[in-house]
This record gives sequence, C-alpha cells and structure tokens, in this order.
Amino acid sequence: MSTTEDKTRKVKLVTSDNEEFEVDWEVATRSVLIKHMLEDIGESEEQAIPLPNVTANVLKKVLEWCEHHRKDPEPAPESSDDNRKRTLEIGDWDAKFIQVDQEMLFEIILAANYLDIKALLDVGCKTVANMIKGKQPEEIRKMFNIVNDFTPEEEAQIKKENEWAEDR
Amino acid sequence: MTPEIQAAEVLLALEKAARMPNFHLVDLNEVFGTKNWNAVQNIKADVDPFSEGLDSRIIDAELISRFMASAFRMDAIVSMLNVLSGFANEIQMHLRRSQDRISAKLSKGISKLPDEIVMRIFQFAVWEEDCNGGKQAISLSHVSRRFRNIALGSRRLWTTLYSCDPEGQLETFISRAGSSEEFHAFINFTSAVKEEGIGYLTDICHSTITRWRTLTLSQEDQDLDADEPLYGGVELIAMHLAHDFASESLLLPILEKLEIHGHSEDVSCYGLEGHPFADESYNWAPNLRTISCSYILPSPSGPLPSVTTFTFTQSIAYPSTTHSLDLLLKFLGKVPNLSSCVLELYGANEEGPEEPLPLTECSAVTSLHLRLRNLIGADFRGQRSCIASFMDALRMPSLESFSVSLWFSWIGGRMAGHCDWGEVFGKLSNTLAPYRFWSSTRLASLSYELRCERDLRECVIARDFAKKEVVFSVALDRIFHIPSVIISSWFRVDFTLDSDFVPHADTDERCNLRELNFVGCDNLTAMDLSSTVSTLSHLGIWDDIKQVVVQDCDRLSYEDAVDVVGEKRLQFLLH
Repeated sequence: MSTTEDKTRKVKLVTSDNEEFEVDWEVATRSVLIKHMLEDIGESEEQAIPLPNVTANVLKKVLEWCEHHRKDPEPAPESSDDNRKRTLEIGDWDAKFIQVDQEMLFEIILAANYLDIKALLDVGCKTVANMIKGKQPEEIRKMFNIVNDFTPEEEAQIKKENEWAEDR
Repeated sequence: MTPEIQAAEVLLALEKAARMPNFHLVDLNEVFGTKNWNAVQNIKADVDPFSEGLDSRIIDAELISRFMASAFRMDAIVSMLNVLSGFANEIQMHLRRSQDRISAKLSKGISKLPDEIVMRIFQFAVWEEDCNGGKQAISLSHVSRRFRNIALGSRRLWTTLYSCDPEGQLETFISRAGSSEEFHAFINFTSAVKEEGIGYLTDICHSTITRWRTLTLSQEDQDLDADEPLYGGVELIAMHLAHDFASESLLLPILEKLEIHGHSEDVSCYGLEGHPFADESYNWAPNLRTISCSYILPSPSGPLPSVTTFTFTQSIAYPSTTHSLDLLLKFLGKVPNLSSCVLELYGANEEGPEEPLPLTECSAVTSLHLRLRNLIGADFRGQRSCIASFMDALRMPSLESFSVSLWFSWIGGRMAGHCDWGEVFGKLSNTLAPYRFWSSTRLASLSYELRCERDLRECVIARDFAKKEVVFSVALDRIFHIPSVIISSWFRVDFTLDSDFVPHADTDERCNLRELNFVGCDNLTAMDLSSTVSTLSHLGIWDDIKQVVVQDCDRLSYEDAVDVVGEKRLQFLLH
C-alpha cells in the first residue's frame, strides 16, 4: 500500500547506457521489479536504481506508458490469467502507444518482462499475436524468417495433423 | 456480365487462390500444365497442338473454327497475363524491400524472446480465435521445431473443444491439455448435428465435462442438405445437453460462462422453454456467473442465484412486444443476484403493450447498459413505445451506473431523417429516465451515447442543422442526484428542466451534478459546448460544475474549450 509520502517521492533510474531518469514514485512502481528494489533500499532517496537490461530509448518509452497508467489499479495475480477477457482488444491509447518500429516493439516486450509490468507485457504480446492470428504456418514462417526445420518423422506427424483440417 | 467485370474476376480469383491455406504446397506445374487448358483440350482429339505445321493439317471447317477459338482465347489470356504479370512484378518489387526489412526485424525480435513470452503470445492468438482456437494452435505448432516445442509445452493452448473439429483432433487436444486444465467448449448446430445428434461429442469429451469453464452454443443459419433455414438448433442442443447431464448425473462445477446464440431470423424461438435451466437440471452448473444470449432467451423454471452478469441481444418486436418483454422481465426476475446487465434491443420504437407490464425488481443490479439499435426517429412513439413500457416496469434500486446507447437508423429512407428531431429526442430523454426507475440514490454515473448512420447524418445536416433544432435535451430534474454525466454524441446535448416533474425553485440546491464528460463527440464545436454551458448557467447549475472533461472531440480545440469552460475546470485529453 502506498503512502502520501511515497506519492510525492522521486525515484532515480539508471539505464544500461548510463542515462539517468528521475520519475515519480507512483510512475516507477508500475514496475514490480523497481517496487521491490525500492522496498529493499528503504528510504534512501539518493540511491539510483540500476536497470542494466534496459537502454535509455526503451526506458523512455516504457516510462511514457507508466505515466499514462500511473493511476491504474494493481494488476490481478498471475493465477487468474484465464479469467481475463479472451480477446486481443487493446485500449485506444495503448494501441497508439504501441505503434512503433518492430525492433522497438520487441524491446518494449523484453523490458516489460524484465521490469515485471504485466499490463504492458500483455499489450506487446497482444500486438504480436494480432500479427500471427489466422495465419497459416507458411505465412508465419515468411513473416518471421523462420526456417522449416522439422525432421522427416515430425513432418509425417504434421501431415497427419493437417488431415484434421481436411476432415472439417 | 460485362467483359470488364469478367476480366476483373480473374484478379479476384488469383487473390482468393493465393490466400488459400497451404497454397505453398500446391504443385503449380501440375495445376497449370498444358493438359489442363481448355484451349488445348478443345483441339487435342484431332491434332497435336504442339506439333509443327499445324496449318497444313487443319483443313476441316469445324476444326478450323475450334482451332481459331482456341488461338483467340490464348491471345486474350496472354494479354491478360502480360498485364497482370507486369503489375504483379511492380507491386511485388515495391513490397519486397520493406517486407524483407520487416521480416528481418521480426525474426530478430522473436528469436530474442524467451519461450515463456512466446507462449503468452500463442495464448493470446488462440484465445482470439474462439471456436477456431484449436486450428490456430495447430498452425502455430506446425511452424518450426521451436514453435512446436513451445506449443506442445503449453497445455492451455489445447483447451478448445469445438464440435465441428474431427474426433481425432478432439482426442489429441484432450490428451495434450492433460488431466487438470480447464476447457472451453463450443457446440455448433449444423445439418450434420441435426442428423447425428451430439452424442459422439459428449462421449469423446466425457472425461473433460467437469472441467468446462465456458460453454458456447451456436448454430448455422442454413441447413445445407435441405437448403432451408436451420431454425431451433440451439434449442435442440440445449435440450440434449440437459438430458445427457441429467441422465448421467453430470455436473459442470466450474462452468462460469454460458453463451447461447440463436438464429437471428427465428422469431418463434424467443423463449428457450425450460432447457437448459429446467428445475431438475439447473444444478448442473452451480457456479455459473455469466449468461450471454443473442436471438434466444432461456426461460428458467427456477431462480438462477449464481448468475451475476447477463448480456442479451434480441428484437423485442417479435413475435409480439408483449410476449417478448414479458419473457425478458420474467428472466430478469429469476436472476436475484444479477449485478451487471447489458441489453441490446432492436425494435424499441414499436408500439408497446396495451396493459402495463408486471413490475420487476432487479434489486442487485448496479450496472445497466441499454443499447437501442435501429431506432427510427420518425416512428418513435414516446410513452406508447415498447421501450417506455419496459422501463416503466423495471425497478433497479441499487443502480450505480447507467449507460444508454442510441443508434438511429436510415431504415425508411429519407423519411427517417425528415422528422422533428427535437420532439423525438424529448420523448426519448423522458422515456429513458422514468421517475421510479431513478429512485436509486446510489446512481453515480449516467452515460449517453447517440449515434446515427452516415446517410441519416447527411440528411439531418442538410435539413435541420442550419436551424440548430437537432438537440438532445437531458431533463436535469430527473437526474438530480447524479454527480457525473458522460456524453458521447454526434448530436448536441443540452440540459433542461421537465416542468411537470418537480418545482424549480430549489434546482441548484438539489442538483448534485459536478462533472461533465464529453468523450468522442466527433461533431462537437465550441458553439455546441457553449450552448450546453449556457443551458446549465440558465438553470443556475454551472457554478457547481467542478470539472469538464473533453476527450477525443476532433472538432474542438484546446483553446476553444478553454474559452468556453475556463482552464480551471477543463481536462482536455487527446488519443
């Protein structure tokens, strides 16, 4: 539970390329990782939090998301995954936010995973899922430059499974 | 059909073929080989079309005719292919460079993701496809060894059981999902199910039935064998299921959501008599929380105490407004713990029943979203409409949030636009806010969404907009205790007082309105906002308004909004 003091507190974050960001406690603690680190270091305001897996340009983008969602309720625990709405729908703001170059998209996903920001991770994963949905294996291969590396035995099994589609 | 249309269909056929599943496996040399050409078949019996000196051997008049027809046809085909090929190469060349660069980035990106994130992406892709989620899971597992290993390692990916999938697939899915995963079952009534029933499905899925988390019953529109509409399909499935569950004492202890989608034109099938909620069999789903129905409504014999969410889509005009509204109210009366209700109703402007409908109290409902579709302004009957009878019969004393979406239709052509919109809106505003319905003092949020079809908009603009008559007025004295109003409207919205309702003297003291939200009002101008503000000023309420939120209103700039409401009150949000 956050206190009024927490909400006015500033947090320093240092990226892998040594850039320092000073952000509101409420914004920084959208990340469960940062929240736990802050709990570990206690009241020390001067101590910067190192984020060795995130570069400045990615963190800037992640913080933009955290700023917009600073007032959102705490995410549900992981066990309730299946309770979530079974949809790829992304909110209007998030949809616009995630319209980024493909490289940045995956960097955001990796950063959200590292920083433990479930809602942002879902936005990224849904965006990639949207690219994949309804596509045939060959189309997915072409899209992601993936080589068909199945063994002959696996190919035989796949051929058998393809017959299900023909049986429909 | 003109030659232009026929030629255009060549392109459509090519694009359709290119989108076919497993197109890459097709041997194009086989499909397009010379033996398959009609131009060749046409003369092959008489001469070898590929031999030299054909001209000296083609002397028979009838053969000459056929040969020339083939030759002319080939000229036309080659002309088309040359042009097609030229454009196709040009388009491909333009797309290819970016395609390669995007693929390279996607490739790098996906290979860097840990397996658990790829698994999460797969899960979303499968969920999105609903009943076809199984097909999506299979596709993902056929991409590469890494994808296959990830897919087979995620039991949750194999939990879609769809009645149209082959038995072998269902058995494999059940095995891949393991013994503890929860399933999502989809049963679709088809011509085949009509013939064979669903016994085979319940047999195959028997071991999983106690782990069904969601169940969706749907049906095809057409009986392909008999070439006639396939009415009553979901009724039959529901009856069979209820019977099977009862006869085998089967329970669905974790079933949370039941969706039933009937035939949109089956007007005789409004009420799903008893099944699947006949007295003796309702126990089969003791933890059912959500019921979602379209074009069919269960008619439970007893109360459904576990259900808290209800979504319903139907025309209330058929088979008669009295019958359909009566059934809907009866249903609502049997869901004592219903807290969230979404009603999407067609035919709301039809004449209501002559006798008042039975009063129905939904004491636990805190959220109601009423969507009225295909409203025809010229036909709206106000207090004589069936929606007025329905609202008069409803009591929701715990209501906290009420949303109304009104969608006006162009049905009826120009007449639809040529009505007195001021009168129509006045009737609607009062109809949707009957005094007794508002007796809930817990109502904290009221939302109005008003939209109309493009053709109707154009007609209204041409006729009425210059006269500024098209205004939806909210009677403030009917919503005194509500602190926040959200407006998402193409039309201007003003506030007024309903003089028949309560005395005006203490309006400003009794009114609790503190926040106005304009969200997605794509036609809202500074002049419209100014008009809304002056109606509030005129009623002595404006000074009490603490916040005005303007979000995604394309025709209203920040500066104009500040001019009208002042910087202190304004919260201006863009996408």
